Amino acid sequence: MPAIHREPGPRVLKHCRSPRHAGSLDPHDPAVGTGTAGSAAAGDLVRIQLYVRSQEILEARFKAFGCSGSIASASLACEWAEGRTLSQAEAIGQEELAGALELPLSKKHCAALAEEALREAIRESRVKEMSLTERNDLNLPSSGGAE
Amino acid sequence: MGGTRIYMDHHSTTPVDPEVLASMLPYFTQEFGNAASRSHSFGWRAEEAVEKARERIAELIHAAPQEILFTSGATESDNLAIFGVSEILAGRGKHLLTCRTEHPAVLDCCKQLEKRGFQVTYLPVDTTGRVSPESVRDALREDTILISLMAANNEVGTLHPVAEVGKIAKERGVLFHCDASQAVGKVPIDVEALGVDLMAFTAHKLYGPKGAGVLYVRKRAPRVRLAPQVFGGGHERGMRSGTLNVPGIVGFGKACEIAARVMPEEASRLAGLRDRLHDRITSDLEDVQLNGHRELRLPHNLNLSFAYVEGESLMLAMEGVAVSSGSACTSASQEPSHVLKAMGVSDERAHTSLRFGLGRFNTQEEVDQVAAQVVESVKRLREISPLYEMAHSKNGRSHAGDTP
Repeated sequence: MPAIHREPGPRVLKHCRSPRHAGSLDPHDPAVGTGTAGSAAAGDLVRIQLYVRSQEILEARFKAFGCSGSIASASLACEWAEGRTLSQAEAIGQEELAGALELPLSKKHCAALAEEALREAIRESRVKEMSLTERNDLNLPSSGGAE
Repeated sequence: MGGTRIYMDHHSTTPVDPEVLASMLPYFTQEFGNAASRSHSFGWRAEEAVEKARERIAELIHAAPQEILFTSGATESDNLAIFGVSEILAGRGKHLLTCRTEHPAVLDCCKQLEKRGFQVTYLPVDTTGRVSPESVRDALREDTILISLMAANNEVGTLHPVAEVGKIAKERGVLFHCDASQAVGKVPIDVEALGVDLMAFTAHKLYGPKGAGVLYVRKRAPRVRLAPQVFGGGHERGMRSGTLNVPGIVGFGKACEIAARVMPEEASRLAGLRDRLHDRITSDLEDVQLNGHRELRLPHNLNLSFAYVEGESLMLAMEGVAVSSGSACTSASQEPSHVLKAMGVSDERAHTSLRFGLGRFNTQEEVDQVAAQVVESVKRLREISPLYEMAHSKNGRSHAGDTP
């Protein structure tokens, strides 16, 4: 039966045992961008949500079904993203996450999932913010009727 | 990691019983002779100790001492049985029968044989992990030379209908090999009653040392012939060359002697502790499923799936507790347990499985502590699980903001 081959590093343990950014935001809130990556069948599913005001990430939250590496990667991605602008957060990549958490090579894909979920959340945040701005520019109270 | 450590992974290995260790120690120092040295008392005494151990091991499985062949472990024994028989009987047929939930020690030998032109049928199991004797009967062919079926599964503890398969093998004149690594010393094993012709097991699964294994090879009705796979000195009547691991074999003998003495009492005590662990966990947690057969399983095995929580993260959360998981996170493409998959368990559920293997030295206090840690850890991980949130918002029980 497969198992962990060595104890995860202290940073992974810290994030798993006290994940400060675990939680959820209302995905229907126009200020919230949601990104998910992976699948339950593959053993890792990561979701990252960003609460964004004027391009700035005021809150970052994650939920994860997966091994310690996935939980820690999502947690660290949220820690780094919070307080940054969307463009700054875009620079958070799997290499940096894996390096900071000292993930072994076999766990690199955990950091890749966190990056993918974060990118997706940033993308959705931008789309939502753009439609908000458009609506404001056109002085429209709600979506639709832009022709 | 500091603090107390609780070991509940006895399907992987067991600690050496102090009584076993004591029996071994003289054979490292004073009685260090080579059992093959015929010219002095060092060799004679080592040989005497080996033969005494052989008797004790044979007794536990109701075999004759001459039917016990020493190896380095169950993996080597499986290799010797499968390759040894295939090589001898290749002229008669090139078909083998085994099961999808076998240990890699058997499956990998079969895959190797396939590369060498043999054909192997991998029998399916039902949802409890059992093979049906009828499927064995149906899959037998004119050219079948060997059936290889484990006595008890190492992940879910399911006991196969070994005696029924043994009977079918006898009727059809096909040799029957059984990997009984998980079963010997845990449940009664009688090679005559089971009708097995070859049987592999190892000391370290029954409170003996690592590095000492056995292959039982039937001597009468039928006399099983094997082609040796290791050469150099003709030890073990030419079947397995190499200097015998005397201390290991002595410990193996002692471990079998103890097992024969304590098995009935120990099995019922461990089954009681196992059921207590199960009850305590399920009384505090919803959505916990048992993997395997509720009755026909090893007394010390408990394999559970904790919905919405991945197994490896759960193991890590249970600080100081040693268990195993059917989930493997070592690469993006890693498949979950082949045993659970063969039982029809979904990949998602397989990733949430944990195997508890109780043992001789576990106490009720430890069981209660582990149950409490499981409950606390699962609850904590479910709080951060997107799957748990999705399932419960669908039911309208929480996170009202998530549903449109």
